[in-house]
Order: sequence, then C-alpha cells, then structure tokens
Amino acid sequence: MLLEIESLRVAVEGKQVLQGVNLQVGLGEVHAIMGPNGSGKSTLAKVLAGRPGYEVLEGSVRFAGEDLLALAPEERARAGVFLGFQYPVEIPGVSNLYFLRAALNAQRKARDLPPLDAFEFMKLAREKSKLVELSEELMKRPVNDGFSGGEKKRNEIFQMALLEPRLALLDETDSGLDIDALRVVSSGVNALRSPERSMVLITHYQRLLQYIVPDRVHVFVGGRIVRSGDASLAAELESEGYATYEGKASAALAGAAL
Amino acid sequence: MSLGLSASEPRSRSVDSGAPGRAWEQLIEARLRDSQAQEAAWAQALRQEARSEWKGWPSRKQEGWRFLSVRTLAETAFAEARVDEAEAQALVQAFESSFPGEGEYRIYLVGDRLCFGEGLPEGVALCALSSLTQRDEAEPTFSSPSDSLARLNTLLFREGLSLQVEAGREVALPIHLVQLAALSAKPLVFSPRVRLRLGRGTKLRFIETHWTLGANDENADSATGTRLSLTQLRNGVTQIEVGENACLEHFAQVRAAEGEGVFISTQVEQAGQSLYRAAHLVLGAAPARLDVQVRLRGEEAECEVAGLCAAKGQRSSHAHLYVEHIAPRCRSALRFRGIASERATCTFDGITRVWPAASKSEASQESHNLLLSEQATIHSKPHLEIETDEVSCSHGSTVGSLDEEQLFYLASRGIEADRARAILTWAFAQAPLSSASWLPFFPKIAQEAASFLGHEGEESA
Repeated sequence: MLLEIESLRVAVEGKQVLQGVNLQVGLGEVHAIMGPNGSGKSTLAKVLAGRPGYEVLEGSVRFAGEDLLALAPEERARAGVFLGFQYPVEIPGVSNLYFLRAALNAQRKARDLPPLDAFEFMKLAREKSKLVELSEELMKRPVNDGFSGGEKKRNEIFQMALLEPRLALLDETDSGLDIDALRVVSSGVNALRSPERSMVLITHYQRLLQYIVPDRVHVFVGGRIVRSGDASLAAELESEGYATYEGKASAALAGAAL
Repeated sequence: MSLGLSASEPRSRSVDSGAPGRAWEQLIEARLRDSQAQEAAWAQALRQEARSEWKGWPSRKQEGWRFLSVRTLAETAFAEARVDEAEAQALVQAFESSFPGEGEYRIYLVGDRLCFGEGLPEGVALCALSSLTQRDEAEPTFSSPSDSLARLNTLLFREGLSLQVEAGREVALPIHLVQLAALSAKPLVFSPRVRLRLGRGTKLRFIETHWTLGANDENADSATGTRLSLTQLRNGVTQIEVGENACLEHFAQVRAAEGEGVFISTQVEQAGQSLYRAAHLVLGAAPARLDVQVRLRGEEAECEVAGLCAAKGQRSSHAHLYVEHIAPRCRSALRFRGIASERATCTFDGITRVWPAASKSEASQESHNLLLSEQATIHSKPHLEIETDEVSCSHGSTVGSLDEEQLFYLASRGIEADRARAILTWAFAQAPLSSASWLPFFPKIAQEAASFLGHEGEESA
C-alpha cells in the first residue's frame, strides 16, 4: 500500500471535521472521493499535505510505510506527496518558472540528485507544459497572478507533471472549469497516470469521472467514508445524490453522540 | 585592500556631556569663518541665511521627527570629514572592483574631493560647486517642515557637484554620482551637496549611490542587543530642477555601514509638463532617513516616487515624502514598501499637499509594509492635505506579515520554510525596484538587495 489512513480524526478550531477516516490506496491506483460541500473531503487533502491549523485527534497515516503526519509539509512534498489546490494561491512577484525550479531542485536535493540549471529546467518545463497546453507566457508570469480559474488549474497539473509525485491529491480540480478546460486538465491527468503513481481525486460532481475513470470510488459524508465501490458508484451517485447518505450519516453521528 | 581604517576597530565617542550640542556649534562657527575667508559671495550669503534659520537639532516633538530621535547625533562631537588623495583613490578602486561602471558616465565625490574623467555626454555641463561664481546657480529654494538637516548641510558643505543639461538634449548615457566613504574610527560628518538642472525638453537618467565600504558586514550589529554608537554621519542634499517638458529618471541608493547615520534630502522642483520618476533603495543605517520633497510648480507636471526601505538588526530606514501640487492638472504617485525584521524600524511618512490653485490634481500614496519579527516596528502615515475641489486623490497603507497561504503553497511543493520566507520577502520587495530596471547594473543591485533580505537564490525571482 502506498497510502494507509486509519481511523483519522481531525479538528479545526476545536470542531471535529474528520470523524474516523479509513482509506487504503495502492500504488498506481486512482481513487475518487465524492461528497457534498462541507463533508470534510477537502480537509482530508489538506491534512495529508500538512497544512497548518489542523489538529489530529486520533488515527494514523502511513505513506510508503512512513509516518506521514510526523513530516513537515515540505518533507511530505519531497517524499512524493503533491496537493493540487482547490484554490491555487497567487504569489505576485515570484515567477512561475523560478518557483517551480526552486521546488524541483529542493526535491531533487532531497533525493541526492544534482540541481537542474536554468537551461535544463526550461527544456523540461516546455515539454511538460504541452500536457496541459500552458503557454510560455503563463509559465513565466508570477505564480497564478491574474490567471483565470482554468489557467490556475492547468498550472496545478503542470506543476504535478514537473514534480512527478508518487501520490497526487487533486482537490476539486474540476471546480470552476468550463468543458474545454475540463477536457484539457483531464487529459493532462490521464497522461500522468502510471503504475508508479497513485492519485486521489476529490470532487463534488461525477462530471470529472467521465474523463478520468477511477479504480475506486468512495462516498464521503459527515467526515468519513460511508461507502466504497468501483467506477459505477459515481454514476449511481449522480442520479441519486448524497441525500440518502447524509440522512444516514447524521443518524450515525447522533447515535455516536449518545 | 587596506585603507588604514577598519570597521571592526574599537570606537570611542568624545561627548562633551556638560554642553550637549556645543560641539556642533563650534563646528558651524569654524566653517563660517572658513567661508568668510575663502568663499564666493553667494556661498557666504547662503550660509549666513542658513545660520539664522538653524535652530539646532530637531526634537521628537517636532512634526516630521516623531519616529526618530537624533539626540545621540546632536550630542556627539563630530569632526568634518576630509579625505586625502591616496585615500580617495583607494576607495574609488575598491568601488570599481565591484561596480566596473560600464554603460554609464561616472562621477565620484569622496569626502570633499570630486573626481570625474573623460567622456561626459554632450550637452552636459559639470563643475564643482565651489567653482560657481553666481549665486542663483546654487541657491536652495526650499523650505519644508522637516528640513533641519538640509540647513545643517547648507552650513557645513565643503564641496559638491553642479550638473546642468542644456535645453533640448536627450542624454542617452546614464550619469552616476557615487559618494564614497570608509567607516572611520572617530565621528566624522560628510555634507555632500548636489545641484542638478535639466533644461527645457531634456531627458536624463541620474543615479546616486551613497556607499560606505564595509556596508556589507551588516551582521555585526544584528546580534548585539545594545544601542549603536554613531561613528559617521552623512548628511546630503540633492537639489533638482526639472525644466519644462523635461524628463528625469532618478535612482538613489544608500548602503551604509554599521554605526553610520545617513540623512539624504532630495528637493525637486518641476516645471510644466515635466516628468520626474524616482526609485529609492535604502537598506538601513543607524538611522537612515530619506527626505524627498517635490514641488509641482508647472501645469501638467508629473512625478512618481517609489522606494524600498528595508532594515534589520538594530537599524532603521525612514522615508519622509512631501509633495506639493502648486499648479493645476499635475499628477503625483508615491509608492513605498517597508520591510522590518529583527529589532529594526521602518517609517513611511507621506504628505501630499494640494494648493488652492491646483485644480484637477491627481495624487496617490501607497505604503505597504512587511513586519518580519515581533520586535520590529513599522510606522506608516500617508496623509493628504487638499485645499481645492475637483481633485482625485487616494491613499492606502498596509502592515502585515508573510501570508500563511503563500508559505504553505511553497512548502507543499517541497520548498523549505526559510527559503519560502525569503522568496516571499523578496517578492514583496521588488515592486518599487521595478521602475529602476533601466539601471546598467540592475541585476547586481537586485541581487544585493535580495541577499540583504535573506534571499540567496542564484537568480532573480
């Protein structure tokens, strides 16, 4: 198993958001986590990437056998964890290419690889940018500064292509995309599927999963996974919605509270 | 290179504690006696006027001096800095070894010695201030709420530079005035003075560098928690006239050493439809204070003054801007950024005054500041005084720390925390510098500023 999450309970500002998450992702697998807004699915992604401000109350996360929660965010990235942000952060004054070269070389250093010089990096960046049809102008602009919603998401996948993570957590990568952008982003993600790389797609809608067919689908409601199945589960959710699960989840929570 | 002076030499101050400020009075009187014996009539008259206006060192109760105490300076016995030929040569060589001076015409002012070589661009007249015979060529026309130190300069200056660009000339080669000093073992005062006049329809790029050898050893003072003793004072005045329809791009930088006080007053007067675009880079001193006054006297004149004031250790950087809209339809924009880390202080004090006759003025002030430590201090005080209707004015001021979301974004890509902070600090610092990208040695300046801010990247972000 590449990723093993066991009974993970997490609180934000004193409020428990993850209520005992169990999830196992094997190497090369693509999992989709689907759930309504506010179910805690984005929290799961952020906790895995190491965002400050979350309190782990209980449970464990092992990544390639290592205790992931003991690592600083940059160490997790160097170990091969990548978070595709739901809202990619704008950093005026820092060029995309500078940022990515710093990131890639930091990761290469951690793996005892020599740094890429500007020329080598540029060659690699040009090649990877084709995957998501990212123009050279966007590559050179300040990080996400003035990018449209679609451009930001393409930039996330471009970063993933460059950094070649072992585990990609893609948090609502489909949100805010029109149909053309969704097609570009999805084909980029599909091109990065590999037996050496696992992915967790976090999404509200089934739409993305028409382009990226997952190996496993998990229904995430009330801070935990309430049902798992194969790709056909996504279609079922699309027609029936989350309402039935939400009823069950709150009933279960009420039971737990008693 | 040994200059016989060392920044690490132990320093002692001879303070006459019985009569604070007495040493300054003696210095001024001695200079006035010299003046009467040697100087042209205009200079003597100028100094006599300044003498009657000099009310001593300002106190914190005075407007414009609330954020900076100059008591230590006032009570320190300074001697006038005189530099001999050999020392001046050594300083020039040391500077040229790091800044070879390609792509610009360079003038050095070392203490009271002015040196420049061949190759002065056509249409530019250059001479030592002391060689001027006419008073109107060197007379200051300014009076501001906070110009005490400019008056002190008028009393004490010994040599300076007069630069004139004749009407209609567009000077392609930037002119760079480098004011050099080595840190001395006893308290010395430098009073450089610069007069720059651009005739009608001219264009010029003017660079001013205030450089003290050993300025890069700024780590020495960050560790000590004690109050710095002052060993050197630079008190410079630069007066600029931008003629009708003329355009001046101005870059000024201060690199001071530990224990050095730097006061630079820049006074700009603009005729109709002229453009003045300036960028200031101040990396702290003990203290460094920048005063920029711009008078928009002719219709449709325009000025943009940008600046980066950073400080760390025990240092401070203070920017005081005073812009007057005197004629109608002028535009002014002040864009400053401050970065204070460790126990440092940065100040932005901007006043834009729109006179009753200055209708249809457009004025803006922006001051954005970054606090990198809990012990650091930022003062940000943008201020507009508007005495007419029909104006478009705005000001904004922010003080904050580094953005947590941005830090996490960088970390999530594998960049370690210290590097991420340095990258973001440098990103914040760049905006005011971008207007100086025409500098022949811009990459080097940018790299040094970046390195001062802890950003050791191999290239600009």
